[in-house]
Amino acid sequence: MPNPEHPTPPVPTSDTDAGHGFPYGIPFTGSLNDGPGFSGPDAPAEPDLYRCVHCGLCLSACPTYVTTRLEAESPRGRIALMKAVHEGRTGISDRLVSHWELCLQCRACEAVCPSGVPYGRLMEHTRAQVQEHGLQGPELSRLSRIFLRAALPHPRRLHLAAHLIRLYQRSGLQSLIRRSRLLRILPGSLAQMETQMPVMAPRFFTPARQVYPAHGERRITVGLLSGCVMPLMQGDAMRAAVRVLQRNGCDVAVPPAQACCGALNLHAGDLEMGRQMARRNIDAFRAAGVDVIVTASAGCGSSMKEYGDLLRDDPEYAAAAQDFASSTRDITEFLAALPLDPPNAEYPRRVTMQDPCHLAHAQRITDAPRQVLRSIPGLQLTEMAESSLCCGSAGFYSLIQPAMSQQLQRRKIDHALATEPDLIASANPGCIAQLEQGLRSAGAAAQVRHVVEILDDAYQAET
Amino acid sequence: MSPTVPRTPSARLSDLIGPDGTVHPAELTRYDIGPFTPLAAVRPADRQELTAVLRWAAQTSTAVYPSGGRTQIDLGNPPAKPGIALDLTRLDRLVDFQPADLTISAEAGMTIARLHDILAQDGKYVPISAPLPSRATIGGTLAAGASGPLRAAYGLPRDWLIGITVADANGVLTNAGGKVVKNVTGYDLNRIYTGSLGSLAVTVETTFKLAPASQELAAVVARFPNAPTAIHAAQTLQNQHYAPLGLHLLNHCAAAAIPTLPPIDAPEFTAIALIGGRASSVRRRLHDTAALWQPDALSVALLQNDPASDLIAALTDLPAHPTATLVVRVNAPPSEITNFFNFTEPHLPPPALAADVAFGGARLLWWDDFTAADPRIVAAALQNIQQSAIAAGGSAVIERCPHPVKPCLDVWGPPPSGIAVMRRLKAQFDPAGILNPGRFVGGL
Amino acid sequence: MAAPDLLAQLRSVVGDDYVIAHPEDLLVYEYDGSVDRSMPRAVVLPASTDEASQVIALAYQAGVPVVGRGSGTGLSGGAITPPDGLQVAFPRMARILKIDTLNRTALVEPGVINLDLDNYARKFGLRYAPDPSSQRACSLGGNVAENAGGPHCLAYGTTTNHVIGMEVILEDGAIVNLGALARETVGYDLRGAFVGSEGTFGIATKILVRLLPLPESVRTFLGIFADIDSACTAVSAIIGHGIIPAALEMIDALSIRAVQNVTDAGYPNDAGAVLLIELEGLHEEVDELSAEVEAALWDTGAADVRIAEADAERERLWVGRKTAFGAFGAIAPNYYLVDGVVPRTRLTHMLRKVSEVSHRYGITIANVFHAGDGNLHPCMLFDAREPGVMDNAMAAAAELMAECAALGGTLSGEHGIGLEKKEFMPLVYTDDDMAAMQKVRNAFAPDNRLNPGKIFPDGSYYHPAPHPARHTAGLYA
Repeated sequence: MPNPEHPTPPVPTSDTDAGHGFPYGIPFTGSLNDGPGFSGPDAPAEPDLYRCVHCGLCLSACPTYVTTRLEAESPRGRIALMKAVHEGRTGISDRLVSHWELCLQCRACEAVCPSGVPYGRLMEHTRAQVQEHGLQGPELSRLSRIFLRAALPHPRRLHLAAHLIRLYQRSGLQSLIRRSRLLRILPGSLAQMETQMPVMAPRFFTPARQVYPAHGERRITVGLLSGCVMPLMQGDAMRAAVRVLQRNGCDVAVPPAQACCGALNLHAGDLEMGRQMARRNIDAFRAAGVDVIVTASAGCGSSMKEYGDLLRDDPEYAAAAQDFASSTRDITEFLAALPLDPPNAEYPRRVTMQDPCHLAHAQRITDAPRQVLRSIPGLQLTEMAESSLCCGSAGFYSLIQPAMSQQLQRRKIDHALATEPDLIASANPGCIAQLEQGLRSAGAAAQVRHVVEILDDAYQAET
Repeated sequence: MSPTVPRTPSARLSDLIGPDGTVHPAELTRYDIGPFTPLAAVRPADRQELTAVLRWAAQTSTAVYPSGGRTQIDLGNPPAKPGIALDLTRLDRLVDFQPADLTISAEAGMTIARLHDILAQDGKYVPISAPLPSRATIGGTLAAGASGPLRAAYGLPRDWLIGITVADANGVLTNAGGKVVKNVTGYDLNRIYTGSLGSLAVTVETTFKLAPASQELAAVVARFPNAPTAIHAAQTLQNQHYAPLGLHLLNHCAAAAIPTLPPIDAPEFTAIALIGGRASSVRRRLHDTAALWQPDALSVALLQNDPASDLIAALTDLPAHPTATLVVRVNAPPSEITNFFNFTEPHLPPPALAADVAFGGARLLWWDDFTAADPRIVAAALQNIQQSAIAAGGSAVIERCPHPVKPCLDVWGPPPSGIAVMRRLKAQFDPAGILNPGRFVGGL
Repeated sequence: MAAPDLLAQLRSVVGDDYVIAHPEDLLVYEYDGSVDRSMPRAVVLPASTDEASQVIALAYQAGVPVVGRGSGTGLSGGAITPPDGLQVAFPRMARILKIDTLNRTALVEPGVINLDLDNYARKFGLRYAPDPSSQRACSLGGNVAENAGGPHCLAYGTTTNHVIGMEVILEDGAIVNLGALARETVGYDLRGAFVGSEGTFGIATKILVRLLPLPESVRTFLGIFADIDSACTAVSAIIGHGIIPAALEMIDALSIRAVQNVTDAGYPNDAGAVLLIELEGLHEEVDELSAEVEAALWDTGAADVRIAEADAERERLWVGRKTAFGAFGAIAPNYYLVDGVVPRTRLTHMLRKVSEVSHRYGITIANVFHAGDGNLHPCMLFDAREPGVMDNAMAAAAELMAECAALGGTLSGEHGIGLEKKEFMPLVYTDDDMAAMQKVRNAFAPDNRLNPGKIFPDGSYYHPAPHPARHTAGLYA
């Protein structure tokens, strides 16, 4: 009940009242350490940072928070640390970097963020700052040197490496080494890398020609991103993608001048290398004169759709990058929108869909792959729990954070197997490799397939 | 210094609030609490008189025993010290009824029956329920923490009280809560006062949130051959979408004490599903409940409208059955309460037992003459019941027992886990120990 | 305080890994979902009741105040810890210990997430009814402390109506059970007093909650109105008709446009207001009430009424309600929302006042709220970087709270008083009223060591320490 004897509390007139008797406040004004701050044009942007109102709705979507339940391993916590650096309350330190590097960059937080915080961009820019100051953790730093800078941007080197790995895996040398004690004397992380080493496809995808013609009447010309590791690890999926597109009336161009999309470099904070690769792809696909650019890799699609943002300040490429980004489609998105020609034969399989983070969260596409699967007669789609929680693959995260990666892998495999599937469908090469490895460890009979492989199989079953 | 003539409390109170508000000494026994007769009794007409009395009591360290309709005056341990009776039945005004806001404010002395009548005129309802509602007052019902046979669906009175005005031990009026249905402004004192047996403050005015009244009331009454089939029938019904508002199981002694039920033979059990709501849903609930129970029941009867209301009223009144000599309230979760049907106590005859199996709770009643029994043996038997209830995750309160038994036990049972906090609470609100002293848990 | 000793003692109780005391690590424990912030001395993460009890006892002996923390989503500064204080958080006590289908209860640890409990209960055909907007993230321990609400509390009541019993730790480390397995207990209702005491009475380490059966039928209505007055009339018409829906929410024009900007919730862009109404019960009940709700909507001037029964359609209608506050991010980078309550029939008046205050102060205010309870959430949208805007917003908030109080309402319906509203308490309570409340605190925590400086006015409201940031996210963050 209102009490007339108590006037409305006084309303402050200015900030000068600050500090009067208030028991709570920031107990320090200087920096907590002498680490470097954020600087330069690629520093996390102030408007991005302060879009976060620390409501906490991201917490339960974050795989590392769900696993650890620690605020520092949550999106909100990581942004708070970025803000603290931005505000000059702390410099970049090993402690801060360790929290940032545990992030999978799955962007599940972004999909649920009510305030639309561009978390992926914030984390990429933060990592760029970390890299610039040479403060990366040792694993990430070694990987960046070897893989991101020396191999990924160079398709031929990558091919050669893949040949060597395949030779190692198929010659019997791998089983020999695994049986030997050699792995035990390798440094822990190297031994880990050996066990996490992706299995190379029996047949790489090497485009036989620049354009694969449409079957029947041509509806559209698509440019297909061949990408970096996918043709090597999942050549079958790439061939399936080409066939499925042809079957649906597409001329499929695979421009030879294209490169890796740059996603892994960008995620690691190597923005400059990422920009170089983006320019190369823009040129390659522009030259091919395609209507739309399609990728079978969710991670690549996500980065390609952000080229416009990445090259925003590049006067020469800004407009072309926007065009490129808006012409890019995930293959499931593209097929669902065509719409695709449904297979006409029964394909009785029990399938559960694993949503790749960069499809579900970064591109907000969850329905399209399911539409494609549902178009297949006889296919029974069952939903697993937490279908869009990261599987722990996350680029080469599994190599840098093996413990967290494996926890998430087990969680994902448990959820997937609980649906008793014949096939687990995915749409991203990293996820597929991670799930395959998880299924092997679990000794499960279920198999992992790219959505377009399942569609392709269903087409093959047609009479 | 001139000699002063000692004046009786009645005389001094009469000076304070006038003869109208003071009960004639010859009528004091109307305010007996068991064998205890108060020094005086006052009937204040308004808040000013009430607070004047309380200020006087505080100044003179005189104990105050508040009462309403006195329907539950037996509840509690014997008074700890001499004191005056404070009859609140004249504070019975309707303060504010806002049908569109679904709130009502009324003084504590208003009877439950009048409260319900006022609400019914606008099709509203508040699930505040106590035996003998034409005498029981709002304040007394809240103080005793009484609840009725529909509490499984509606919750307890504390869930409906949204605002309260009390007079504290110094006669100062304070408010808690307010007139809105959702409120987290400050501590929830409504819940602290509810069920506190007047030991913290004297309730003056209450505000409740309201529900729409049921368009129709109905009941399904089924007779089952034994306890297990009746319990099974009840639990099966609880898991249906059409589960009722209240679900009660009565052994034959309890059923025989409900005047509206037909005569019954031992060892039959009676299951009662109380139903209310929109006409369409009442029809469905009646039909489906009867169909569910039919196969195992000896008989199934459907009651609608007045007979159903009468049955609800009879179930409500059961704990205050005029001739019962011993009444025990058992609180235990639904899974445990049915075990009390098998409970035997060597020093007590078998009781009448009425269990609220949906909410979790039961009344045990005896009509036997205990005057010849050793009060210590009866007390020990009752303490065994209290221990069994505690073992079942609940408690047991001796609501009525022969006067000689009371001093042999704590009617509330052994002190609960939070007793240290409760003692501090009592000390904070009533440091002089003058509000209903000795009667509450642990002698508070 | 003998800080190093205390930290060493705490480490010996919970292990080195679970005492967080390095300032860089504490940067993430200085905020919650509100606008206030302060860095605690240390954060301790106990794994059991026993550890939590020892931790709190050690702090008590050292004279260090203790603040409990759930998920840090609170909106009144409840988890903000004084600089010398110890924060006790419960990520390691987050198990659902038992679901009892016969008694329809769940026994949980305080760190369990609200929605996780609800989802788990649904496997047994049951549910946990209180559904605060932060239910994806907020914890049951925090819900208990704040007596959390949510849209479906209209029909089912707030957290206090669902907590049967608790194991709690008092300020000196004593472990006490409040309530019991039975819903009715003897003695003072300490359980009832504890729920909503904002962590000042104790810290719950186990919570026994009631679960409700899932309804047979659920139907969701979207009532579309040209203006907010007619939507308010519809609310009164529905309640006045004797219908208490499971939920009855209002979304105003500004919020509709903000939501539709972000996601297509199916709300018409040109509507003046929409009502989101949910009915639950038996098929027959829902059918009968639906006809009446629909009629009430048309009678009060609805431009259109849409009805959804399938889960996916209903979810789509709810998406707008659930994302509204975030969608305001596109309008302005900062928001501050007032949690006032008025009697339902005063909604029209109160919303006019909101609009008038909005114009007078030049602050954009959006309204998305629990109309059925009269629980408003006028949400001020502004850019804290503009000089003076924060003071302006606070002055506007003060007027709105005063108006709620003058209309017979109150300051907070579900967010709590905490730090941000404590100076406004005299608008609704006298000194004597508050003294009575303090008596209860003195009974639970005689030394006032738990969450000190919250709820009651002490003149410190408007005086946060100066922040080193050039500008901030929350009002005083």
